[in-house]
Amino acid sequence: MTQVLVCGAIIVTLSMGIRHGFGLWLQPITMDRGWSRETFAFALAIQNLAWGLAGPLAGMVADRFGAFRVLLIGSLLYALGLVMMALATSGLAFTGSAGLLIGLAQSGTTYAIVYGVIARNVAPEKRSWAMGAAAAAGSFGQFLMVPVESWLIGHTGWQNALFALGCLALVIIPLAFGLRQPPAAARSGPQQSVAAAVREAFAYPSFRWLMAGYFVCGFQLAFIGVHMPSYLKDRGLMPDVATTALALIGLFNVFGTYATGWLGQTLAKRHILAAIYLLRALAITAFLLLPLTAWSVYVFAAAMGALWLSTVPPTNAIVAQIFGVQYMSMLGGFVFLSHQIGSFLGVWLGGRLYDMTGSYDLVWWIAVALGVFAAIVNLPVRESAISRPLPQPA
Amino acid sequence: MMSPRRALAWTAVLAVLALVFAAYFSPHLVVDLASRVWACF
Repeated sequence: MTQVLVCGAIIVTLSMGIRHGFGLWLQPITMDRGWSRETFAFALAIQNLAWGLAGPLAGMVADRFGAFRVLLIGSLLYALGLVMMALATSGLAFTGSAGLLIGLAQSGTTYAIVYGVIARNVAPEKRSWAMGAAAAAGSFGQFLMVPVESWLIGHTGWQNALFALGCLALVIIPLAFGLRQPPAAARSGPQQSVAAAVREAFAYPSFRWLMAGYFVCGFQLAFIGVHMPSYLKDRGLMPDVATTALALIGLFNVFGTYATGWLGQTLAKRHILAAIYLLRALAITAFLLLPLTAWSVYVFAAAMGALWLSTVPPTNAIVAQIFGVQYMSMLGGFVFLSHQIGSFLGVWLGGRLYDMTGSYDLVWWIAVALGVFAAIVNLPVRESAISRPLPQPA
Repeated sequence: MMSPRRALAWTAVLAVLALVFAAYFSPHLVVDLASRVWACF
């Protein structure tokens, strides 16, 4: 168990961390290549969609043939994508590398893949904690890599910084050996087909509620992550306030993800999820209604940080609890796809409604309403294992 | 009661987190990050 947890945690630290600071390349790349910001933003939008869309497929391959192969291919794609991102001289090549290749790489190296192995190797009573520890490692990666990547760009140049990250992505390969496991066919117990597993999950209301909640998670985080600095600028706050807010979100995110995994061992996970979404709605409401100062931003950033990726361990632990671990990575991939659709809408709608109304107020209140909705729909989620008909004797 | 080994591990984790947090406030990084974050919008 320790080997799986340590290797899985470092893999997630790398895979989540490397891509987190990509916004830092916007200025140097667009200036050097003479591209518009739209070219850069479009590639990152494709990256997020590719990550979500490829997630179920990568998860299915990992569940059937072992996470090791998927991690190996994911690591190579990650390194290739970063190198090609540095060398791309056209918008199309940049979209193919920074967008498509890295998006596919993320689907093969992040939570869903690692969680499948963790779920199969950790006792059910410790699973939530283990998922929390791995998620906290991913949060730490995001927190760590922003200053590291800023330093790399400043000291080695933006291209060399990408080459260095490409080498770092290859470190996932030796770590993947720690997650080697026998393919599905070699495992004991009754085997379910992929199609049957997908049909079963989508026919089960609790799975759909979890997907709805995760959609809201993606919407809120992407909207705040992308539009918050712009909102603060509009309201006349100094740029260093946004930087401090970024640091606070990163720091409290580590504690939040670990804490919800730990709490999931004793509390009902649906209650944890409902509380997270409700607290997010309350935090946003207070942020909007109270006078906006640097300190109100810091308190909001700390609160949202603690609630940032804290939905990841309980959501995935419930999926494992209901459907078992045979298709954990694939089903986690489907839930994550819903998260990414929410992310896409959060970013796009934030910009669209801002252009239409001249302010972010409407999107903030949509985020509040969605938070309340997600809190409500998570309450009836059934956490017990789904009952399946016993196999008929031949 | 927390074992000494666990207490040491938690201390190390908190120290690393504090170091990374402090890195966000180095004058060069604050200026660099602020200009880049704002430049995105």
